[in-house]
Amino acid sequence: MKKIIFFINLFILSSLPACLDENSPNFLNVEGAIKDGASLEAAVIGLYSTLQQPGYYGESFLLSSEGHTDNATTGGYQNLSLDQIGNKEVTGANVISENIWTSIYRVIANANLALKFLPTIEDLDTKVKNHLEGETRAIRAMAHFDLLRYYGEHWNMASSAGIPIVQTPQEIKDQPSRATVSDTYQFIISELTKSASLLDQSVKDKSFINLNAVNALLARIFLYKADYEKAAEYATKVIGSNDFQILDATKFLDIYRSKLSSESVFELLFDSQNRSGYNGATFSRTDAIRPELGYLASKNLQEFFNSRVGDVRNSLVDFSSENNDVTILPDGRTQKYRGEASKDNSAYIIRFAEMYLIRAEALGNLKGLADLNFLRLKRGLSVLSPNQVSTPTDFLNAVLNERRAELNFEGHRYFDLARTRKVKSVLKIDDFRSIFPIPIREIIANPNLKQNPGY
Amino acid sequence: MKINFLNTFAFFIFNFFFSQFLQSQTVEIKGKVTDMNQEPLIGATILVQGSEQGTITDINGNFQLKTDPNVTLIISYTGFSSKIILVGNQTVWDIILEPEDLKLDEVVVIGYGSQRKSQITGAISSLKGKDIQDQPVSNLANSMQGRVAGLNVMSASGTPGAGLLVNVRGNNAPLYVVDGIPLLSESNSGLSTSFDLQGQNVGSGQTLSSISDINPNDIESIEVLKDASAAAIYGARAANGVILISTKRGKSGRQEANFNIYSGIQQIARPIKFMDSKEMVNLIEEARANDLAIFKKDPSYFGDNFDPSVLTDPLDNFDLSSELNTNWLNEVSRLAPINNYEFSFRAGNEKTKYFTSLGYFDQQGVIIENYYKRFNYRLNLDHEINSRFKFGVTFNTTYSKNRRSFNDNTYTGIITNALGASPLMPPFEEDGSYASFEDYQANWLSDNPVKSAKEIRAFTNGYRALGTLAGEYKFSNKLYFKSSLSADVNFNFDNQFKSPLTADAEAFGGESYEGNFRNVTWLNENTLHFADTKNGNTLSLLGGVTMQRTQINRSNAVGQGFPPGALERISSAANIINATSEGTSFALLSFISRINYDIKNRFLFTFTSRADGSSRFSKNNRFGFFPSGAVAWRISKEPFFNSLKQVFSDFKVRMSAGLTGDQEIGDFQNITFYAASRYAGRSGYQLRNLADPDLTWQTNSMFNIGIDYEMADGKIGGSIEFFNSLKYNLLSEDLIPATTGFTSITRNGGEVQNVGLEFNVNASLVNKKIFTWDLNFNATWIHNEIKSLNSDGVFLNAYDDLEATHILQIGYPVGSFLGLKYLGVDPETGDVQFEDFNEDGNIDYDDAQIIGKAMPDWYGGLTNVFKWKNLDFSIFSRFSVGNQVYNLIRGTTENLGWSNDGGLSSIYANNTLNVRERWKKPGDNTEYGRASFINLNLGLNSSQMVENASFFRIQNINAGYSLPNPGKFSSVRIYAEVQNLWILTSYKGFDPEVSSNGGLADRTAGVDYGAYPSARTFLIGFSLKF
Repeated sequence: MKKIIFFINLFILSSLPACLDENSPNFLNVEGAIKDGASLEAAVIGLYSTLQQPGYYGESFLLSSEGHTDNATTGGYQNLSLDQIGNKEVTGANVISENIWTSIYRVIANANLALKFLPTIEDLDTKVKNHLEGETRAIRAMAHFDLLRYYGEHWNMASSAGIPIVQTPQEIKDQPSRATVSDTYQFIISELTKSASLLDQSVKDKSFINLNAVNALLARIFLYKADYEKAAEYATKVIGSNDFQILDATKFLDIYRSKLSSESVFELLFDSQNRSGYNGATFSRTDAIRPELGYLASKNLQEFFNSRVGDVRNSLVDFSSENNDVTILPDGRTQKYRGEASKDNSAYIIRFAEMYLIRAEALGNLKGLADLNFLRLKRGLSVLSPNQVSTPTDFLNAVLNERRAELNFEGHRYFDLARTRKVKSVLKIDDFRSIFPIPIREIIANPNLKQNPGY
Repeated sequence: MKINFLNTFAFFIFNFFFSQFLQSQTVEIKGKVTDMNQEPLIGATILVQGSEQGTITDINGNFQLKTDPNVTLIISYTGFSSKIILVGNQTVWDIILEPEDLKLDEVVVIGYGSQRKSQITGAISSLKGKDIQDQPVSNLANSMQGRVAGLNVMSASGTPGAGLLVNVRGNNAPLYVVDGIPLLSESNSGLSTSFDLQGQNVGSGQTLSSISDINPNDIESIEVLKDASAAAIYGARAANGVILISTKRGKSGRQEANFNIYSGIQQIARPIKFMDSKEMVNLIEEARANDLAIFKKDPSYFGDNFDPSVLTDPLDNFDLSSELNTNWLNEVSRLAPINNYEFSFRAGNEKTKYFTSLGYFDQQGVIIENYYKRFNYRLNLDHEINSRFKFGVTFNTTYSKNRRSFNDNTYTGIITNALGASPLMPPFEEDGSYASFEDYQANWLSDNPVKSAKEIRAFTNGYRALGTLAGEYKFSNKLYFKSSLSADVNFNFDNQFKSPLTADAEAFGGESYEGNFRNVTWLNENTLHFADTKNGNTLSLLGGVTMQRTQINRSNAVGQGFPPGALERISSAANIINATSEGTSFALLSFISRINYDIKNRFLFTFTSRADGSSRFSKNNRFGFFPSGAVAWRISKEPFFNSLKQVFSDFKVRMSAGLTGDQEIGDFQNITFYAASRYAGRSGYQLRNLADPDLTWQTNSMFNIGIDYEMADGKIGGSIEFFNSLKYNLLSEDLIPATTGFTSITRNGGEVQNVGLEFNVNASLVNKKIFTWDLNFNATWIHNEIKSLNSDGVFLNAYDDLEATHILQIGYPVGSFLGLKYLGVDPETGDVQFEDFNEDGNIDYDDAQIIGKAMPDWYGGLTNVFKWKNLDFSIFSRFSVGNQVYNLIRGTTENLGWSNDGGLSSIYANNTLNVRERWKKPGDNTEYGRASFINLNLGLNSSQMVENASFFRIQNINAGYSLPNPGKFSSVRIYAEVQNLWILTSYKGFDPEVSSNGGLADRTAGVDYGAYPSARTFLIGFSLKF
């Protein structure tokens, strides 16, 4: 009898440990996942979806920076993190800032993984493979630049307060230090330059990275770096591509009411199953009350537009008491992200108008006025005469105002004020608040990180 | 073994022939020796009086003996009174022995078997079904509250059917084993989540408990296995303790039918009192006047561009002429009925026994529209095919339907909205439509709470079948084999419809969510049991192999845009905005063994071990070994104890040590994986999990010393336990640099210590024929402390979008609150003050420190049962000392007339009457600060909101009358009962027992964001036996 039991047990013992190998129908082990062209393409598609994270181009990256300027005030139900942003008193414990930091590094981690396996792929045409590599490197570089804008002293090439550059898949134990600002720029620019050489020039889809998007990013980055010659050069490349067109005043609303308008250079798409947070945070529903919303158009923005007679962009902010609940007043709501039913508003990562603004600023008051006036005319304004902007300072202020009118609620104002060192004078806050503090959580997890000065 | 078997066989053959010759002189008698509960007594001695001839009973309590019919037999068993029988012509005997000392020797269910209490070496607490029956609770864990030392059960919310925070000796979420089947203890409903207004998940809300599928009235006993000796047999899942639930089974003998019905009414036990319209308006005006006075002194106080007209202009929305005075708590609550019907039948003969029951439980919530209904059916059957082979069936089905209360304990929930709503807002307009909250101020609201309750229709339907088929084969009197196959089939169907009238869904014309959850668990257990007694020493062995596989499939869909006319299912949606389908699974393979050695019932040894292999870990770390050892010494059996026998009729000292494990990390956490994600109409990969390949078991090293005593001839008995356990290799979400792409990872690391003392006393204080008084008291002291962590000082959030509320820090307990330290109100200015903890001259959240904890220091319960003639009366109370609650809803309900960002003709929310104790003029020493319209003069996430939540509660009072002459019936009893009669506490919320995360997360426990209020229940019942 014991023999029988023995054999039963032997059977159980020999056959069952295999039962402990469970496979998931939803998860794919990263080891061995990227093994051919199709799976590499899937990893790159996935990389775009990481840009859609709520902490990044899904909502917070753009809107939180607006909340920290004179364009917006914040709402929320006693949401301390949101209040901190609205009051411009962000601390290292801020949950929204923490999500921004983490989300962007999530993008970088995905890119690094794709780049790690890319050299092992053999069944792809070189042109296709190079294009995939170019997209991945460009997204990774853009992510680093966006981190630098939020957390690094991006205006000061001598500063050591850059951001950790991450180029390889990280082990848990890895604790990268902050690179210097100039090293960060150098990495970003060399990656984008390499990307430009890899990308297939015939690809024009504006919902994906293409050569125009990379050139536009370079133009933006050189402007931040105050390398005006290069900024103008790259802006010219995009403007001269003939792939885009500044819309007339009668049609310019298409930018926000349709997808991939001719003013979009790189637009991150959302759909009904992948929604963005822009409508919910800025409009929500017709009767919305203040705390339901995250970011409201500030009274200051209304006063700004009141001084710009004829500017059609004024129609994209609504401060009327008929359309806004009493709790919202005297602030209002931006109309850039309407579509309450679908809530699939795009993230306008790079728009064509920005290229004119970059080139105008880069060329300065003598050569740059033409670009500025070109845009002003398209937006229903009169041209500025050279006398009105005779000094570089006046001209810079005119450009910044134009940028504010054009790009408000698209995530530019805070960085524009920081790179032109105007945070203190315009926002009436300490200069160290030109950037956010590194999240405390990150400093606890990585003792090699030094907090930004002032925080 | 083989030889033994042949020997036995030869012996039978020999006996068979030989007995033919002896027939005239001897009879062969057969019998069974059991205790009063029909539990077999193994190793009982049957001796022919005046001779050496005799035998002992086998593992089933059976014996056979050939003897002269004229002799007298003495049946004896340690701890029991001996019995003498004259054989005569009777050849089959059922012998029932009565214990000498009644209390100590009841039978206790242990893992994979049962034992007499006197023989137990581990820390096991036992509750009998009769102790907990007829309580108006949906979840049986509720009925264990305060009854068991070392077990702290907290109702996180008053919602019918809600999950509970169950904590055994400082460890959260024990393993439930119902009739041998380990159950998933987590909530399976997709609606157990809180959402913000954009539909983003912001935390777990009201969870459901899988254990609420068991009808509390079906329960025979509940055993709580608390130390390593008792729990290690469940190895890798026992680190948090094990709760064994055994349901009633048939008994041979008399048939018994039981019909029980109770019916009652519930109300909110402790309503929070709010200001009426007039007082609220006065508060706002006071706030404006205060601010105006400050402005006049210092015009820059409120900023450079401040326009003081907001402090003097008439407030349009606060016009008392409407004479509205809505009491919102009354509008969303009600007197709610509760009903329970139960019919059970148990019967049996020598061969077949069964128990069957039908139950229907219907609890309406004290919040409007909410209810929980449950229908149960059970059949437990045992059958003996022959003397060697028997089998048993255990089968339970449950259907439950729960109308959920939307976003319980979250700031967009019905109750949270009702708590802040203005009395100047009506629930309905004159035309009968819902009042639009936007028209009436109080911008705390996210919707009209009555509208939310009625127009968000959320249901969870649960379907559960638990079944076991077990067979037992007896090889010999000493050895038997048991094999069982069990299945736990658990389906949930959720559907939630937000009508287009709600603020949550008006923008897109209604929203519907449907979710399916399907869990099938298979369990096969094979055990070999051996027991032998020689010279009064008993050796029992257990060995076995068990296999379990759990497979879960989950899918859901969300649709938006619905046509009018009750078309609320997904098929009617204009757009499907989300659809998911996921599967997950895990498997366990385990080898168990236990050795019990009992030396003359004086020294008892137990060695237990379990080797568990889990699919949740990588191949190299897959198997874990969990041993334990224990020894007990019944000192009262020693001769030197005789002098103390007058005081202690029984005295036993126990000691145990061992290891138990925990694998509750979720499936597939051991691999770094991609999951699918979409962009622009194409699907790709996105990194979703970063794994530590070295992930392994969390282990709890437990040490226990206990004393079991009995005094005054068994009238008083009880136990005292000391325990010290160290959980190490904690499976925790550890902070890692986000440069990896993730902020945390599931990793082993860190240690948590739990040290404690438990006291338990049972006393029969009066035991006269017409009057009896029984008392049970238990108390537990516990100290929980984090000893080490991979990353010290990690912030945790009870709600994803709020500031950190908790912290994990070495030297402090799990579940410590984080926030600013409140220094009180400045008597001169009326401003609230906080400690500048980091001394940087600024008060901000960088000054946050540890300001409290959720876990109690002491807790326990006291039961008194009185019987006088045909009347019975019981009163049960329990207490908890040292626990605190982070009452965050007070940031809303005590806002002191704040306008939310100032300058507007609106206020944030109505206030409770507590704020009457506010600062009014310089020199006032008050609890609350100065009312202010512009500035929020309180500290949310500060110790101002941390309250002492110690309490003493009269949990249950029951008075019954049994008919002296029940006629045809064997018993008729009517009773009246009050549940949650009275509570002594200084806590300002509804109930000091509250937890934001519905029951499972001890790390973020103890946050009150307007949780569902607990009920007080009055009921009458009727119980009939025949």
